[in-house]
Amino acid sequence: MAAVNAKALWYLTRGTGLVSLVLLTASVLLGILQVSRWSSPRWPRFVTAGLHKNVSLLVTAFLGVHIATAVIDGYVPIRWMDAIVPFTSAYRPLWLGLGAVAVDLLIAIIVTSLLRERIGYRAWRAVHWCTYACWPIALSHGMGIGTDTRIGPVLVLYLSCVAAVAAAAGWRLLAATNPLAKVNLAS
Amino acid sequence: MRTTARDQGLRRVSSLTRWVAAAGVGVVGVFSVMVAKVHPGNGSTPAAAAATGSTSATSTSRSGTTATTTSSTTSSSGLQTVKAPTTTTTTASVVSGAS
Repeated sequence: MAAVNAKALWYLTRGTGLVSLVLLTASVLLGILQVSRWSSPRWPRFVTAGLHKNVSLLVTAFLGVHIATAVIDGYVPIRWMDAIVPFTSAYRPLWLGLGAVAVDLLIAIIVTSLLRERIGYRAWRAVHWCTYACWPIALSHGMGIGTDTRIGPVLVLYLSCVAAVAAAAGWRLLAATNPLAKVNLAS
Repeated sequence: MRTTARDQGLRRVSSLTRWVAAAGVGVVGVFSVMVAKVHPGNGSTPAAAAATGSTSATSTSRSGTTATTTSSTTSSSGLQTVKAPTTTTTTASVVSGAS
């Protein structure tokens, strides 16, 4: 029974890790969509903003389960502190440390977003730029520490996330540098 | 009219959030079953052994093989390297109830 529970925890760790990455990718895409000011009559901008916020909060929920199951599982020596303090873990310190950095950045991004009206737009925006660092760090953590990376569907998932964010970031850069595209996005 | 559009938008946000959350839970289950079938494992090895990679006792690895090992190496994935498995057990059937 205990072995079954241990296995379930381990599978849950892997599953929630992958879903957290997918949701984080979705959050980044919605953020890019929001900052690009894209909208349509059926999809006003506040829908993008609301969804971006809610998906980001869902990321933290799945991430919480991911961390909790990894620590409770006990197969590898991961402490609660290792999830917050980077590069202190006895187990694969580099890859786990990258995960801790991603968690720290995500916490900073979410806390400053919740306190946006108090801290001011400029400070919030400065911290929010960390998202562009948080996502690739989280991806590196998953690819480096994940025992599933070589499994076909998981590899496809990683590549799809990379392609989606690269396309969205490229589109955003193009729109930012092309005034005509800017007008189209704003309309 | 404007209020109606806003209410509709807010309902859409709420509905989409619920769908995303439900899909997320479902996909966790799908991923768990998938990785369990492709790469089954076990969590019965003590943490300290997994960390140092040294053991001289019979252990069960994450790859689902039971073996007696005397090596002190760590595999590329950081998990215990298992040499010459004497018994191979498939554990995928256990997973379906766990996810």
